[in-house]
Amino acid sequence: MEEDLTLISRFKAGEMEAFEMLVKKYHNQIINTVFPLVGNVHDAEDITQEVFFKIYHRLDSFRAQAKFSSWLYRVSLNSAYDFLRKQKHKTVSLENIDYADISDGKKPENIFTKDLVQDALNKIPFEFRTVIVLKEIDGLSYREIAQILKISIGTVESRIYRARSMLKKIFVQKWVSRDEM
Amino acid sequence: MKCKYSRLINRYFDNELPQEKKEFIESHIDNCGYCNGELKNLLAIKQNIYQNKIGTNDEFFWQTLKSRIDREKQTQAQPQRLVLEPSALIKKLIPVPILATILVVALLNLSQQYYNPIDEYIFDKTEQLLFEKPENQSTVDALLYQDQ
Repeated sequence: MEEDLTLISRFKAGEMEAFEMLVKKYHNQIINTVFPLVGNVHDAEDITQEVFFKIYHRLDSFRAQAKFSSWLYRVSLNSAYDFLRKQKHKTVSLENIDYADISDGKKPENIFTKDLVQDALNKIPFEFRTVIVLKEIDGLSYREIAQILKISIGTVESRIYRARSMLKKIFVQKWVSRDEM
Repeated sequence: MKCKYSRLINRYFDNELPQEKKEFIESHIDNCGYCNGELKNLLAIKQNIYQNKIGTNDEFFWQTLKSRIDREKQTQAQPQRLVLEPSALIKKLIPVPILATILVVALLNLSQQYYNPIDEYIFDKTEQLLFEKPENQSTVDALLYQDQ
């Protein structure tokens, strides 16, 4: 697989095949990053199309100061955020979650389903959802996430920790309510 | 009870700890029920988020994107048709500043040509009052002279 910068240079020289290679290299990663953020496959596909359409238009002005993948992630996260803002997607506020009350005796892995995971992700604020997706889906390091989001590594660590605490809290609540039925 | 090292468990799980801390946490996990459970929870969260990944078709995605790019290129390549409606033609051919200048000149011209017989009458009569004494006074004139 050719290096991103080589492909970008070839695209700038007029080779559409180079852009095709970039798209095929990254589109699966991007759609899987966007999907847990927006919670709907069709929306994720539309947003990913829009992301690569924007990239096609802006690639000429890309100056290799940052990694291409970081730039691509950033455009994707912004697009997902804009989409959710337009949709007025509702998230629970941080104040609604009592971190001290997280049960440590339950094992939530037994009750997780795809729908439940997505429902839980939808309930946490966007900035926390973003870091947890970049960590768990894309397997990026704290440093890489910090570069994409332009925040400090300490903030990344803190957000991941809090995102996991929120998710665990939601899972445990679901588990308890299911047991009571 | 929550363990004071629970936050370090997160960093350990993410492989973000330096070697010496990593070794410490590994030995701690073996002896701490809370941290052991916490590690399992982290693994469960990761597995469950990861299982939500969707499969996509590279070629279909590319073809859809390419069609959109091609459509846009075609639209840009089409020459713009000249609109033949008179108002649109005027807008295209005569720029706004020129149109505004023409309008101002036309208005000034009109105002000069405008004739008001009452103004002219009053002006003439004032001149007569100031510079000459009229011999034959009309009724209106007589009334005007009564004030003096």
